[in-house]
Parts: sequence; structure tokens; C-alpha cells
Amino acid sequence: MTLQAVLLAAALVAFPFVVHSSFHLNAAILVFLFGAVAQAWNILGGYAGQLSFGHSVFFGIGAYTSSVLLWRYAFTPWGGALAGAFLAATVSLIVGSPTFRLRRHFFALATLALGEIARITFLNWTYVGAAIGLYLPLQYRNIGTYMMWDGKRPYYMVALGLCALAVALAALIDRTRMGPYLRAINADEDAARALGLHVLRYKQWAIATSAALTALAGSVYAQYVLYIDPYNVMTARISLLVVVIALIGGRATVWGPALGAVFIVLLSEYSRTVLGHLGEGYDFIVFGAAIMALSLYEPRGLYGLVRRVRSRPLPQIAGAAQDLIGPPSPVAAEAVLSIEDISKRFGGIAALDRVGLSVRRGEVVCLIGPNGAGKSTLFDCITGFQRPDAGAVRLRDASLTGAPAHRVALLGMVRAFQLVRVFSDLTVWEHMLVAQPHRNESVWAALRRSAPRVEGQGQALLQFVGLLDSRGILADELSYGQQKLLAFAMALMSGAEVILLDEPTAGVSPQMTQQLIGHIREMNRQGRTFVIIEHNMAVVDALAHRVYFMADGHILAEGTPEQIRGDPQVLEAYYGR
Amino acid sequence: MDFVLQAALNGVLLGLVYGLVALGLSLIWGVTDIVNLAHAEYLMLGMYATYWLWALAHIDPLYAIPLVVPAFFLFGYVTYRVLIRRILSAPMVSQIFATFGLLFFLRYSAFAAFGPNVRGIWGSRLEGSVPLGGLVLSLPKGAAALAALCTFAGLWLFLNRTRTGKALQATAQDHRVAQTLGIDTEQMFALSWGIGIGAVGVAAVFLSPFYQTSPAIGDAFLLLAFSSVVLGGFGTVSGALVGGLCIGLVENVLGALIAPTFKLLFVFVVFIAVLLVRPAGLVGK
Amino acid sequence: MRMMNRRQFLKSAGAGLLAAGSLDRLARLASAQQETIPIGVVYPLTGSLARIGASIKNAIELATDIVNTPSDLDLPLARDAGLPRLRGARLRLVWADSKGDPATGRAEAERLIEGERVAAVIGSYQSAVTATASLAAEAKGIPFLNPESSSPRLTDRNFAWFFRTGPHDITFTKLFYDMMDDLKQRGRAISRVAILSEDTEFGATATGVEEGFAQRYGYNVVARELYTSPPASLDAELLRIRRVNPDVVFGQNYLVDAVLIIRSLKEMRWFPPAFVVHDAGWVVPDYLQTVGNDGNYIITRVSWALGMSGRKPLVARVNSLYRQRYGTDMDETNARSFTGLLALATAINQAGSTRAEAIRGALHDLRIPGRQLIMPWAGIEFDAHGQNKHAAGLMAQILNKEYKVVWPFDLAETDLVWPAPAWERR
Repeated sequence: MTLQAVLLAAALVAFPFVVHSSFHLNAAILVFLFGAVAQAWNILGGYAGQLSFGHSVFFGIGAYTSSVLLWRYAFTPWGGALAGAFLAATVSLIVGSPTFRLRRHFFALATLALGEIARITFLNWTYVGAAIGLYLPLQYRNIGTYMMWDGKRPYYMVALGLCALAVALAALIDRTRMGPYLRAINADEDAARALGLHVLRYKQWAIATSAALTALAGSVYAQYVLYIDPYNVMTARISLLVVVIALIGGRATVWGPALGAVFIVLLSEYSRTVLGHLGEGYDFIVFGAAIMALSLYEPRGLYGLVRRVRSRPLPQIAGAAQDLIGPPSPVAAEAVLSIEDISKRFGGIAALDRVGLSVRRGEVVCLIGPNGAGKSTLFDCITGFQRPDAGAVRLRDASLTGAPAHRVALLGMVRAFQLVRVFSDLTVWEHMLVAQPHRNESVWAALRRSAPRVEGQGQALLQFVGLLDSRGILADELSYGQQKLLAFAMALMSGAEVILLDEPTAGVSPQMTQQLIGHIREMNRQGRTFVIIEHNMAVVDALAHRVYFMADGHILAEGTPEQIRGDPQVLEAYYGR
Repeated sequence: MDFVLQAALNGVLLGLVYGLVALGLSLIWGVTDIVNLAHAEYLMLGMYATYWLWALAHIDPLYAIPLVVPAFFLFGYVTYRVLIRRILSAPMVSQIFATFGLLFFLRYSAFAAFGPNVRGIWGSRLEGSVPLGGLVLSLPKGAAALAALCTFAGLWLFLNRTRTGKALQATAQDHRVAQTLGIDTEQMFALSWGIGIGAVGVAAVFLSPFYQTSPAIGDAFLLLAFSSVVLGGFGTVSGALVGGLCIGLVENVLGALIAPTFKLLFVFVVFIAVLLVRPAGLVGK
Repeated sequence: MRMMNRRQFLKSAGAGLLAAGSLDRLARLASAQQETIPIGVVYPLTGSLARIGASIKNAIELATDIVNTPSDLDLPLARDAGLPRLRGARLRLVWADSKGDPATGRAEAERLIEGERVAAVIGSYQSAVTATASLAAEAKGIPFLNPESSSPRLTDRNFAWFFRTGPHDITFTKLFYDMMDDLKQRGRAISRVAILSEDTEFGATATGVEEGFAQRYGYNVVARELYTSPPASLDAELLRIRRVNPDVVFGQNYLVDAVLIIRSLKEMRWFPPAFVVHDAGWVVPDYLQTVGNDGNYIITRVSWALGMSGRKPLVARVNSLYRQRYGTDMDETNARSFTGLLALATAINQAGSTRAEAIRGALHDLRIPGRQLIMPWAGIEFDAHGQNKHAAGLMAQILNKEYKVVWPFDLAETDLVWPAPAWERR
């Protein structure tokens, strides 16, 4: 792979010394520039799954910043490009942060609208040339410090460098835990949050990086074309082109966007010479059909077609598997989790009515009750997925009342969902990487590999639940029971002290259920505290130190499994009068 | 005063037209959960259909309805069968991908077939205006607004007063549940595409007397249609109309009072504000 | 008629697609037998301006045929076959599609210069595309001739290889105000100017020039409305313009916009006393084909009008040739393209060589007398910036679906109608 990369790089650098035709070099420059922008888009839209239809804003900001600085202040575009990148990143954070709240279709539409707002603004902004646009001052031609040449070769090198930067960045993301993090956010934001991932911060990182890279390409483009106006650099056309390139090439891949750029740009440049004189836009009909066909048969785009013939290698794990067997730790006297008078209403219905319970360190507490009792809502309310109307939640000394989901996880309480939520598109091993402890982890740290100790822990846990050999396959391809085991392993991986399981054995075979009971016991013995929603009384009997019984949003009874069995209220609620 | 009233009147009429354009988009979005990026291309093709009926067969747009609308119903139905059915349960990205490809395909097919010429109908029965106090009421826009209201009413009756309509609504709410209730959801999805594109056909016919078409004309309407749907509350039929009205009013009244250059800017700012503050839209739940 | 053409076209296009390679080879074989001079031609053949690109293509092909085949027209190079000073070599057009996009225009110009080894490039209608395409020619040292773009900045760049035969916005806009001053002297009160313009480089530049002149000539700009083309509606813009009650409305509008403006004005039951425009959409044949007599009374700047044929029979002869071929009349835009190609051909002939340096020299020394042009110009002669000194314009008014020259008054073929009649009196 590295040899291939070196050869490819050497061939690309040598290309302009062999080929002198401006036409071919122009095509190559466009491939690199749009490859870079598409890869920049891919960081946000492919990996993190935030479909932006407004990247023209960042492209335009880059083009305008360096051009205006050159035009008005004779400031070198090399510096101007950096200024543009910085400005684009800043703007992206300002507009991105509120819009990230939007669900995906809406995010896409909001960015499309933002692009239009930017275009209209620039059209009317005389300082930057308004609708007339900017002719870059040509007296700087052929001065390297002004990034302006008559020949194509220097531009080729600059564009190649930019594209290489983008691809390298993508490769870095892909190979470190940033990749799994972003793709997990893409696959299931809530589940990622439940594991303690600060989703907003990663999205912000992705959009700022993406915007900065896009702006760099915009600056180079302006220097290359030497004329910009809102119709050329700040138009939805650019945004859409970039999306098409990334999608056709293959989103969330290292080489996909570059491949897409090669395909689209070359097809469009060369088809123009073959078909262009017919003047009927046949190339676009072909594009349209190709895009539709790819969407039907290979959503991963061209890169997916390439990768079909190659199998995935097993992920390499750094660090030795760690010994999981620790000393047994008895149930302590003090409460680790206490819930006081939590209430939650939906419309006129009280889902939770002053619910209180407490869990001691080292306990396994089961929560039982008929469907609709409010058990899952209670989990939602104490893990930050819903905001309780009243009441308080404390984990050890920390107040969790109204805390966002990722903070709850960081403080040491994670949950597994009722219907298993694995991240589609992530391998089993990548799930463990996403689930690693996130406390004190800065966003930039995610661009490194995990510590060997952490990877060793993951390996041990996979071994523990019997999934180590499956670590290279997509979690989607596991059986339902295996997915539940994976979810359980992830909860353990997070290092949380308190683990909430929502019906862990529902829909699981009896054998697997026994396995799971064994795992929970073992982990409890080592000091983990569990709160489990469960319907299967056999499981409750096997696991629970104490049981809470809930119905209609109230806690009706509390005690050992035997006590609960005999409680008249429980009998009434389950068997009726 | 007349100035503001006239701007408001224009806004209401155009707003209803935008609503009519957005109606099908909203219905399809609501039922099949697919954002059809090629929506405005159907509008463009519908306007071509109306134009050719007028130019070649001398059929006035007023009488083109019984020809164009069933044809577009079929068109939508076929689109569903051929393309959309296969991406229904695909990830959102694939869906966006597919309708995006459809956009290119339809637009440039029209370009290849009809050339770049601008085609407009002049002198149809629906032309001119009538004075209304100090204001003027545009006849074609009035007719289009009326058509929007009728289409809306018809659709509302269909959705709420017929078995099929109710089945369609059930499918929109949760197609899995609908399936267990014995509803042929596959048929419902296809139907929503038929009705949705048919509604675009109505919009196209009524736009034709006062607007001209060319292969790229979809650009003028696509974002407005999306904004209408999202503003009103996606998935609800009344939402499209309310959203369209808002956009028409914002565009025309604010545009006329402040500066028309910024009229679309106002629209998009309102659009984003509503998205952030009230993601369910103005009439959504 | 149009359908026939289309079908024929599609047929030939299909065949062309199948046999693109072999046809190309055939063409080269043919060209080897007789020397040809390749001329690069860059215009928007697809995209929203494709309609205009197509009509320009017609005119340029007609001009090329006039050069290549002998005829008795009193046009430069018409009487001989090919270029006499180059042993009868013929011009060969190499077409390229700019798609209306500046970056594409430049790439195509480069491809033509290097790949096709064209002797010169002609193009590219839109000022923004001309700006970048001519940059390619400048860098490579190949003459670039521009017949139609009107942005004054193009010739302000002082390029060594750039030449423009047509007038630019300052010349054109000056016509507006000179005409209005003339009218004022005849006792018409004109002071309030409104501007309705699309917002790309073309519209915005012209708007700027109009505002600048308004100050100098002592007029008052009371409204200035820019919109993005194609607009979904222009009601708000027109309402604002009507409210300020202007004496004249200036317009820079593309075809779709032009048709929409007429529709909306008719619906509003209002028409300004005068609607004065910079050609663009208003002179594309589709405009009058669509709106018919409702399109009357628009006053447009032109550098050509069929009505000139009264004083210049040449105009009618060329137009009838054009009409025979394409079924429509020439328009004022492609008449400029036609003239541009003839000017370029003349220069190449006078250079007696296809060397770029020689052609540039010939362009600088070029003198074509006005009588050999179908334009109302005193001739073609470039100044140091590469701008044709004699490029001028006329004002024409659409009357009864024809573009009639109405100003300067001494050249007018009919009387200017100002103010335009209200809709109900038409």
C-alpha cells in the first residue's frame, strides 16, 4: 500500500513534466481542486453524515477572502488562503452550531438555503465587487509570491498538494478512532451520545475542518481562474457538484471523492470535446442515469464497486488482552444512584409521577412492570434523553438532573437500548473503539490511535462475550443475540460504574440468555452496578438483589424477588382482579 | 395603502401558486419519506406538455387539465414503480442520490428533446386582469390560486372522506402498522407518487398562462417549493399551502416594502428561523 | 418547420455520435487536400444561454461560408473563394462550448489554442466568459476577437491580444442619455429614471454605468431593482417601480425575464412612458414570437437593425441569405458576431500568414470601411486598447413586431413613440 502510494505520488508529480498540453493539465487541476473539495465535504457529509448542500459558502469565502485581500491590499494569496480558511471555519461554526440540531433532511435543506442567503448577500455587497465580481489584478502575473502564473504547472502542483492534503487528512480520520466516532454519529447520533461521545463537538470539528479545506480550494480556484463573481464561486451549482462528486465516488471513504472527481471532471471535460459541439447536454443525461444506477446498485459509489472485489482484513489490535477477572466487590451500603420524585408528562398523560428509587454500589436492581408502566421513560429521563418535568437524579455526588446524555455517560452511567442500536456500517471492533471511555478526551486526541491499554481492554471484552473472531465484520451482519452481546460489551467498555440495560434478554434465545446472565453476574461480582428492565421473571430471579415494581408511572413496590412475587399490588397489576 | 394591499394580494395569489407546486412534494414526502429533488423538473415537463398541447393541437390550458393531469398521475406512478420502489428502504443518502440523478436526467432529456428555447403561451383564455377597486386582480394567477384551493380541498376530501384516502394517511403515519392492518402499502406509495405528480401537473397547467418554460426553469421553483413544505410542516397537505402563502407574502410584501433584491433572502431567513425554532413547521404537530 | 429541423438534426446528431471518430478522420483527410485555417469559436452552446449561442453559431457559420465561397456581396472577402492572400485557404471553425461558465470558457479556449492549434479565437458573448477565455489567449499569445461582450472593463485591461469590434456599455448607455437629452430639447419632460436589471455581471455593470451617467446628465435615479434570473415572479419589483412613477425605465433582462416583464406589466395594466433596454433577451427572436404585438414600444439599443436596409441594401441581402438558411431574421446580437468573424478573416488575409504575431499586426492596422459592413458604423479600426473606435449603436423601437431605428433622429426610419400608449389604447 505504501509502495503503491509512493509510486502514485511520483507519477502525479512527474505528470506535468511529461504532458504539456494545457487542456490535459487543466483537467488535472480541476480534478485535484474538486477532489479536495469533495473530500472536504466528505469529512462532514460522508463520515459525520451531515449532508451539506451549502459548501459553496465556504468555497466562496475562500475565493473572496484571498481575492479581496489581493485586490484591495496587495496581500499575498498564500496568506489570503489561510485567512480565508480561518474565516470559513469561523463562519461554519457560527452557522453550523445551531443548524446541527436539525434532523438530516432539514439540515440539508437549511444548508441549501444558507448557500442562497450567502449568494444574495455577496451579490449586493459592493466592498467585494457585488454582482460585477472581481478581476484579479494581473500585474502580479508570474510572481510566485502572488500565486499567479501563465503556465499551468505551478497551479498543478498547488492543486495536487491540496488534494494530497485532503486525502491524507481523510486517511488519518479513517485510520484513527476519529473515523469510527464520526461514522457512529452518522449511523445513530443518540446511541453515540449514550456512550459519552460529545456529538456536537465532533460535528463542529468536522464542519470547521471541512470548511477550512474547502476555502483553501476556493482560494486556489480564484487564483487559477482570475475572475470571480457570486455566480461562479458562491452558487448552488458548486455545492451540488461537490455533493455529486463525493456521492458518485463513494462517501466515507479515503479515495472515493478523488475517484469521483476523476470520473466526473474528466467525463465532463472530455465529453465536452466529443459531444459539446452538439450543444444538447447529452453528457448530463448520462450523468443522471449513472447517478440513479449507482444509487440503486452501489450506494458506496465507484469506490464501493472497486472494494467489492477486495475483502476486509481483520483489524489489528495493539496491546495485549487484559485480565478481566478482578477481585469480587461486595454490595456497599451507600447509594450510588438516587432518583428523587421524577415526574414527566406527555400532553395530559403522566408517564412518570414522582418516581423515586435508589441503587447501592455493587447491586443488581431489576425494574419490572407491565408495558406502558414508564420504565423506558424513566431510563430516558435519567440518562438525559428526555428532560424530566420535576425531580432530581444524583450519581454519587454529582447531580445529573437535566444533564445532556453524553455528560451522564461521562460521569459513569451508560445505557443499552431496548431495541438494540448497533451502528450500521461499523465493524464490531469499531464499536468497541467508539465505546471507549471519553472522559478528558479532547477532539484532537481522536486523531490518534487509542492507547494500547484501551485496545487491550476492548480485546478482552470481545473475548469475554465471544465476539473476538467476529471483530472484522459489520455489526449489521451479527445475529440479534450477538448484537445484544455487543451492546453489553460496549456498555462495559465505556468503563461506566452504573449500567442500565433495557430488556437485555428480549428476543434472545434461551442459550444466549443464560450466557448473558452469566456475563452480568461476573461483571457485577467485579463491582459494576446494574439497573435492568426485565420481563422474564426467571432472569430477574437469577440476577436481582432487589426489584422495583412499576405501573402507570408509579413505583408500587420494592423488595427482593421473593417479596415482590408475593406483593398483592403486583399480583393485581399483572393478573388483574 | 393601495401599494401594500396590491403587494399583499400578489403575495397571496403567488403564495397559493407556490403552495400548489409544493403540494405534491409534501404528499410524497409525507407518505414515502422521500425528498424528491426532481420535483420541479416534473413541473417543467408539465409546462412543456401544456405548451405543446397549445402550440400543436390548439388546446387552451384551461382545457388541458383532463389530458395533462391523468398523464402526470401515470408518470408519477411509473416513476415510483421503476425507481423509487427500489430505494424506499435505502439510507437517506441513497434516496437523495437517486432523485438527484433523476433531476439531471429529466432536465437534460428535456433539453435534448425541446432545445434551449423559451416556450410561453400567449393569448390563452386565462389572461389579463380585472380592476378591483384601486387594485388589479390577475386572472391567470387568480385562476391558479383557485385551482390551488380546489386541489387542496379535493385532496383533503379524498384523504379524510374515502377509504383509500384514510389508508394513505395511515401509511403516512406508520407504514409497518398500516401493513399489519391489511393495507397494501406498496399500492399506497405508488398512489402517493401518482397523486403528488398529478398535483404538479395541475400546477404546471395553471402556471402556463403566466409563466414560460425552458429546461432549467425548475431552478426558479425548487427552493421555493421546499421552503413552502418545510415552513408549513412537512407531510401535511395544508402545511404546503400555509407555507406557500407565507413565502408569497414575505416575498412580495417585504420585497415591495424594503427591497426586492433581498426578497429571496427574506424567504430563506424565515425558512431557517422556522426550522430552528419550530422544526415541525407552522401547522405541524 | 422547426420540428423538421429538429428531427433532421437529431438524425445527424445520432449518426455523428456513432461515427464521431471516423467523421473526424474524414474531415482531416478533406482538409489535407485544401489548406484550411482553424478558427476557435467559444460560445455558450448549452445552459441557459444556449438559445443565443445557437443563433450566434448560425451567423458565424454564414459569415464563414461567405468568406469560403465566392459571391457578389459587397462584404470583405466575399468575392473570392477563401483567403486570396493565403492561396485561397478556407476558414475552418472549431466549435467549443463554454456552457456559459467562465472557467469552462477559459479551458476550452486553451484546448482550442493548444490542441486544435487555432490561428485565432472568437467569442464569447457573456463578458465574464470573454474575460477568462481571452486570458488564455493572452497567455498563449494568440489573437482573441470579441464581437458582442459589452463590459467596458474588457478593453481596460490593456491586453496585447484582445480586440473588440462591438461597442461597450459606456457607448451604449450614452446613447440612452443622448437620446433623452434630444427629446428634452424637443420639449419632453424627462427626469425620473428607474432601473430593472438582472444581477449578473452584465446587468450589474450596465446598472453601474447607467447610474453614473444619470448624475452626469442630471437625471434622477428613483428606483433600482436587481433580481436573480430566472425569477419566479417580478411583481414586487414592478410594483415598486410603478409606485415611484418614473419617466423612463431602463432594463437589462434575459429572455425569460423579458417575457415575464411584459406579462406582468400587462396584468398590472400599466406601462411606463418609455421602457429602454440593453438588447439581451429583448432582441432574441423568441421574445416577439412569444409575446407578439404585446412586445411593442420597447426601445432597445442595437448595433444593427433590419430597418437599416432602407439605407443599406447590403443588410437586406445578408439577412435574406440568413433567412433562407435558418428560417428567421438575423438579430442585432448575431449581426455583431457575423461582423466580428468577417473582421477577423480580413485581418488574417491581410496578414498573409497564420502566424499569431502577423495576425495581431494586421488587426492593429485593420481598416474596414463602413460601407462594407452590415453595421451602422463608420468602419472598423482598433485603438490602442483593442477597442473598435467606430463601434456605435442606434436606438430602435419595436413597432408592429419590427425593430425600427428611431434615433439618432437623422438616421431614424420611423418616428419614436414616446410616451408609449397605455395597454387599452393599443
